[in-house]
Amino acid sequence: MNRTTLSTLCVAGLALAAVACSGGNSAGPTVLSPTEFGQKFKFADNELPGWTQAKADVDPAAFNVYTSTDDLVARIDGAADAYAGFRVAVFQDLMGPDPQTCNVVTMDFVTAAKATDKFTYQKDNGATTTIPGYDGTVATASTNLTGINVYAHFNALYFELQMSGYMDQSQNLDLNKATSAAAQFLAVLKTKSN
Amino acid sequence: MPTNSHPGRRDFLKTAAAGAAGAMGVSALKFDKIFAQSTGGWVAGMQINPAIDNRRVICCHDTKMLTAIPANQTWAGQNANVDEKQVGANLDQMAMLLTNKTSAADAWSTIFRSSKPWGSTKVAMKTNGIGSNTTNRPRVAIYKKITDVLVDQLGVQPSNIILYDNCDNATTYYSPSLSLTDSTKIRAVISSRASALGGFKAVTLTNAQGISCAADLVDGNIDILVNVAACKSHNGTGGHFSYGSCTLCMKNHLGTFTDGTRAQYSDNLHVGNSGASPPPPPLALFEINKHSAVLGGNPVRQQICIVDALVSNGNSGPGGGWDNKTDRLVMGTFAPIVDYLAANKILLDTTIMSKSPIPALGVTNAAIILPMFLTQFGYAATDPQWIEYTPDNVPAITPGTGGTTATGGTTSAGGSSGRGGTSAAGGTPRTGATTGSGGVPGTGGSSTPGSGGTTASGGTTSAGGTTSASSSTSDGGSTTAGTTAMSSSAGGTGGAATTAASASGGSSGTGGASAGHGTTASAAGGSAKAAALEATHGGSSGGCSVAGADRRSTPWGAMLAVGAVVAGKLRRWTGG
Repeated sequence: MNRTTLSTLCVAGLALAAVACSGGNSAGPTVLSPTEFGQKFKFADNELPGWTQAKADVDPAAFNVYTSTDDLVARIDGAADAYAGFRVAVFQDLMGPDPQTCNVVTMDFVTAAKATDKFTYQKDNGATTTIPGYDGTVATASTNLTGINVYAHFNALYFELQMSGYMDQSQNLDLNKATSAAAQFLAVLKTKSN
Repeated sequence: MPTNSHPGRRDFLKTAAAGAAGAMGVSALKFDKIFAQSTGGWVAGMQINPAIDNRRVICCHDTKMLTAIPANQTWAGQNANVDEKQVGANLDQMAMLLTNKTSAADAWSTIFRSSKPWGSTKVAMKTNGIGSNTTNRPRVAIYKKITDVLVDQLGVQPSNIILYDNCDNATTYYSPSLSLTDSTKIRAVISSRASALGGFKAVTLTNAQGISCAADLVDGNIDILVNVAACKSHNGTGGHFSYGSCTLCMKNHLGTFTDGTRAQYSDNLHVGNSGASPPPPPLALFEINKHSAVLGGNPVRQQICIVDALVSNGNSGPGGGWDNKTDRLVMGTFAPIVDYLAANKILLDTTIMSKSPIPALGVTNAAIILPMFLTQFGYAATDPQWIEYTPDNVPAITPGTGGTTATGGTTSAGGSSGRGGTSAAGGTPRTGATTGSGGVPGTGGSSTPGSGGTTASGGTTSAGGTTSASSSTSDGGSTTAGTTAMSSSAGGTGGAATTAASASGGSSGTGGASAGHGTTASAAGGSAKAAALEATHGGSSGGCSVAGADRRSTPWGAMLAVGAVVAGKLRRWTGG
């Protein structure tokens, strides 16, 4: 049995399990279709003031919904298998106050345990920066030259925020500014998760 | 029809080898495999370019290539602060160091070769179109410089240059930067996946099923393949860092090869390891990088590999944004060694990648997989040559020196050589190869006769130059034979290589040397006792190429050795 078949069966099985669990661990009481899920977690322009979806002429991949690991390979290459087990994944690229950017990834892993596993993997790989207002078991981040990568999970949902454009005038990372912005994004996502 | 390669030396070698082969009853045809320029993909021991050592990799470290840290990770941001002229000048300098030429024009003419007139030569340039607007991918300035060289210097038609990514459509981010007529842009055609490369064609691989590749690469319609990769870590299938923790020139060809029925995917080529530890060898990755679509052709299709490490991904994976400013470009001709060195010297160097290093598991698994980049192609950890410089401290280029490093491929002693260019065939493969320090620099380009057979003895140089009227002395009793210093010399003029194995009998035989084209000859080692010796150039800028006959092919080496002994005996018998 090839990996594609396995993946399909896995997704199907997990979806059935989600239904059987009456929504307790999923994104809501009713399992949303991929399209519905995508629209729910899509940031509308200025939903966070100053943030809009990247324009199609510069970023044709600014908003995509994926339903299988195979599909995700087209987006993130072989790294996609690290996310095996998700039901729906939403990728949205946002542009904020220049030069800030934020790529938001929202994934429904169907069960809280799987979402937690994915979060733990990232935390174990060096994501140890605190996000204001969030316990380190719920949200954390890794830093880089111009920004941070944030990882979080709420119930069965797993999130990543890839944020850039947060250097100060000395061309050093303005960590407070980046993590504060991350907290704002997570607050919106947490609300959407409920 | 005039051609644009530099066949003289190779033809000479082939001729010489064929002669030796004939003497021993071996088909000359088989020597084509040894002397590379394969039409069928990777052959053990082949040189991608006879004038450039596969093992030689140049790294330019220049903080001025980016005028400022890009403000964010967007594609526009990645290109906005690139000093195009500085990048171009550095690529010229790197090409000169790679080829040991003192002019950029000579250097590029050495790197790029075609069997066709330039006006009808077709070039494909691989890029990486994956991800989104913030994904790290090769910068425009690099492709522009390459196409400037191809068009302005060599005369390639812009319409015959194709920028492509068969898997992730390259048009998405590069289209605004291309034009067939505007010399301020990349003068090339951009391919929507494989549309400008004849579409897709099924290929059969051992280590992956249902794979296709651009038809024009499979069918040999592309003469030159330029491989430019971004410098990125890769957390591997399942997050287990199974590709050596990096995605560089070799991994870039997941995108030359794709899934057969779904061109936008290369999933079948990704190795599933289900968390296995240690991670399994990425055999499909190696297989496609040995494939004739990449390393076939005559001259070999993939002629230059560049890693754009102006910025790099450390913790951020292959689809993510850059997270370190690394200010480097890397250039070589042989992707496995380019990648091995770029990964070790940049991605895994935490002082360079300090802002966001590769996670610990990536470091651990890189130590398992990266050595396979060498061993899968017959190289050892001691083989790669990393030459890193800054623009204010450029290594000297001394034409005529250092052109040849006899990469030790052979052990040897005895052996034959002929006047001015008869190469000794033979020898048995050498292993080991610690780098020796070279001997006296060759007197490159001078007319000093190569002292042929007198050279050698590990690291001693043969005074390069022309006519090595040499000949070896096979001082009797030598039972092992034949150095092949099949140098291709990067510098200097003159004499075709001469191998001169001298064997003073027995085990301590001193190696032969080759003095090719004014290069510093190298000593190819002597006997097994001296086998570890590899004489690198005497000068500072070592050189290229080659080695003895297929040093990784014992049967050939053995046959050659036998042949050389026979030849030596015949010569003595005939008084020759």
